[in-house]
Amino acid sequence: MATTFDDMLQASDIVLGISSHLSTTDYLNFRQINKEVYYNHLKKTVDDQIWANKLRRLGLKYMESTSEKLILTEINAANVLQELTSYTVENAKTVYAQLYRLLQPFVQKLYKKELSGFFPNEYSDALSHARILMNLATYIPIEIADYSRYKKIRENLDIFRELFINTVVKEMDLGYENRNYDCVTEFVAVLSECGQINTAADFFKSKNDFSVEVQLPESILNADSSDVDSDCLQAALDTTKAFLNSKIVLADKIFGESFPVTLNYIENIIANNLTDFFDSQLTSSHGLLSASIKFMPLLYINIKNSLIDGLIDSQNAGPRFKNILTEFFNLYLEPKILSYLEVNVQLFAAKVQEEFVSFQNETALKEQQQNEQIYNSLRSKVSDQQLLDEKNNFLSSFTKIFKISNNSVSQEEEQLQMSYNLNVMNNNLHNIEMLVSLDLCYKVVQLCKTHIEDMRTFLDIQNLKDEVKLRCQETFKLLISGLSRDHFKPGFDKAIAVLEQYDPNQMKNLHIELENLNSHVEPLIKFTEIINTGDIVLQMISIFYKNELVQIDIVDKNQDFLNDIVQVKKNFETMIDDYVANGLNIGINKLMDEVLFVFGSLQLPTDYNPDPSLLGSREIKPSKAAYKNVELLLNHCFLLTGATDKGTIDIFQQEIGERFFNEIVKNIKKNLISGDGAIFLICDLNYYYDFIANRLKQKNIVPLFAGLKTVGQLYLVSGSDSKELGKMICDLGRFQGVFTQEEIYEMVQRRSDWVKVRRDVEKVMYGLGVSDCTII
Amino acid sequence: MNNEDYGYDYDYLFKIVLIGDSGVGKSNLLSRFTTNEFNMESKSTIGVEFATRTIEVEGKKIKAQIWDTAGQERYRAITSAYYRGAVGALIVYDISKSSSYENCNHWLTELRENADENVAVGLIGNKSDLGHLRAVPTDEAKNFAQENQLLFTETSALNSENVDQAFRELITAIYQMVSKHQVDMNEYGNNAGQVPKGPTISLTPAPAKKSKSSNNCC
Repeated sequence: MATTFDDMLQASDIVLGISSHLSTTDYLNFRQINKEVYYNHLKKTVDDQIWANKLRRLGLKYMESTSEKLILTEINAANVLQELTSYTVENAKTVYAQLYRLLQPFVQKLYKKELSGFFPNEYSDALSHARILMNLATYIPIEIADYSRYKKIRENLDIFRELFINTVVKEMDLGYENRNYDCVTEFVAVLSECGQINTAADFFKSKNDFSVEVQLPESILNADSSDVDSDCLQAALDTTKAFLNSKIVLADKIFGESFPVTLNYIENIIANNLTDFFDSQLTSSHGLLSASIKFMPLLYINIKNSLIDGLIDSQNAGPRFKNILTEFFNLYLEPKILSYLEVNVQLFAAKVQEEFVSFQNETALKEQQQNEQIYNSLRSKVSDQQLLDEKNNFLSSFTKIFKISNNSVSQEEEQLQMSYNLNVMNNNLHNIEMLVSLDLCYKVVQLCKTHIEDMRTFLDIQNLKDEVKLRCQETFKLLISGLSRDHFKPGFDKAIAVLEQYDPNQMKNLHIELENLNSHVEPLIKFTEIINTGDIVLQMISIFYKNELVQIDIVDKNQDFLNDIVQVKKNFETMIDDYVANGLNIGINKLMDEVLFVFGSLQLPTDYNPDPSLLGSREIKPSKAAYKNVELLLNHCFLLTGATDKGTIDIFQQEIGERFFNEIVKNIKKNLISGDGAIFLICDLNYYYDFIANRLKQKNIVPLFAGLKTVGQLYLVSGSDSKELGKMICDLGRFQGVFTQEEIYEMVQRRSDWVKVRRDVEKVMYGLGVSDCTII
Repeated sequence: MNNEDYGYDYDYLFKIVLIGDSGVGKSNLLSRFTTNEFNMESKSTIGVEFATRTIEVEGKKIKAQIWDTAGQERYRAITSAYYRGAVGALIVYDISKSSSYENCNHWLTELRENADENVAVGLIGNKSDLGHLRAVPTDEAKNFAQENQLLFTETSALNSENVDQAFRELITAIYQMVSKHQVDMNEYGNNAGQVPKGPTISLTPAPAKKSKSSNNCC
């Protein structure tokens, strides 16, 4: 069975399908093809829906009830889509009819390509033209169902629009050249209406080209690139500022507040002109130390202060204008700032290294010169002496001089060598304080401060904040490691080596002394000076850490236990503490050597065991050895006061006290003490006690010396009281618990009458029925 | 030539002991007399301390070697060493502390047991500046001193009152006794006479050298 066109029109679906593919005119005709289609398939309700769909696709809003302003006299082709914004099902056809009436004539012209006289006379201004074109661009796709027709219309619209925009730009150019800025402003609005504000911005940019109007200097550095020529820099920034200010005024005039152009315009200048300029200034490099990138902070600060802050306000760019500009600069300079941060750290490391190395070299050179000088002086002195000696020898005996002259020369050489060694040792000791230089430490700390401050210029840049902090921390760590590795370590190592070499007793054998050298040097006194320097530097570092890193939030105080910077700082402190402890220990050893020397040389056997016939002439006062030793201790025990913490001082003083105590015990055991001599021993022991209890005031060791005082009484007891002497030895509580019984027993044997009392004493001691005596 | 080292700067040397309870002020009496010092915070003496001062009595230089002893010494061997050779002693009590006065009897006994029978003894009531806290009446102490043939003075080491006087009185008494003793000895025809002999000789002799030279002078 054949199907006719009429048959097909029986089916509603088919009719609706066909309708949806038809242009407006074709649809109107098709609906009237027969009664059934008109009344049935495309009856009024269906028809209304079809118009409503079209309006919906045009972007109009559906409303339930009829809007009041259906027909408004002022509706025209330029504003129709802006005025008619809603529809109801009932009025859809009417609304669409209006659109159609106003816009379809233009569509017709486009279809036929009748482009001359395209706009009727009632639309006289360019702005209306632009709007009509925009409305057409919206309206035309509604007929896309008739595709070939639509395509042609669309193409013609595009061609016509381009023509139109070109004409506008031409007119605008004309106006701009004639400085008719009002006219330019109008055309800007037209372009904006056409969605072509970029064209306007490009137009402005091409008319105000930075590279054409501004001539920046080749270089803002001095001839030798050692510094920034600040006049030159200022001039460059002033020129740029003047240029930008004039453009800000112009852009405000042309674009007002409606069409933002200025920000984009200036961003372009920053990105394409200024960044390149600054980059080229900062790239000239002649090795790390003179790399011009170190001027980055200076440039940045000048850009902010002389350029950005000097700009006038821009209406077009809005109130945040300068902030945004700063952000632009931050963004575009970021790569340079990053490499600056990196170089700055390297630069600091190199400078610090240089300082320490040249200090080491100078010290070594100075030492060498001094040693030479010592040698030469000794040499001349020895020859003089030798001459004199030979003369004496000559006068005394002819034979003698012939016998010893050869021998004597080599002896003198030996003597010279020894004197040289001792004098060098002595001189080294003098120089200990110079091994660590407070001035130098201060200098590098100051340098570190400057480097960190420079980097902090960029701390406010959000993107760079973490990097800046990291670099500052790195710099601080370099400071500490430099101080510790390249200065304190070699300094303390040398100082301790010198201390260790120093032999006070050998110094006393120094036969040939140079007048200009202080012959007697207290090694500890010298070492204290270096401790003092160490302490000051530690304090300096602590303050620096607090003020430059913590307070300014370079280091988070609350997380500092996580931070390796704190670890580095602690390691440095520990290192110095260890050196101090080590040095003090050696110093105490040397001091004890001297104490021993004093006991050995000044404590006479008759001190505690006097000749009874001379007793009456002796003052009861401390012996020379006691005076000398207390004086020695007095000179040393308070050296650290103010140079280090109380804990270290206490340990130091107690250590000296304890070791001195041991030396006294040894000294007692070395001497014989008679009943008459006991008061002199007691007098010495009282003197020691007085020093420890009332001068040193170290409570922990006072009992040791109180114990010694009691020991002194063992010698006072008459030999006829030997039994009670034995009891006393067993009464350990009497000696403050300081001594064991063996020690007391050893000491009591130093009684000059020991042979006589021994039997009785031992009888009591070794428990022959004496209940209060126990030996374990 | 240095007199201190090689010769004698005195005519007589007297050993004097300070005894008495712990805390009565012996050390401060001594320091007041020898160096004119007073230590408010002085601690109790450990063992024994010595000090000397030379004064002139009847034109003679007398060096007093004073032993300041710990008040609480328990060993007789030691106390007897203290007393050995002493020609004078000051028994000190605290006028504000009656127990220290009551113990004077004990100290006197100990002294008599250990020291030379001719030892000159002074009773000292120290801390007279604490009059408002007085616990020992002056008269009672004075009576006790008289009964036992002791010199008696109330002193204050704190404000120096009578300190010098107490020591001087004792030293003068010793001197008078010594010079009398010497005369006695001379009467017995001992040679040179100034070096007393015998186990209980209580006087530290003026040295032979010096005496010879003085003899030559005389």
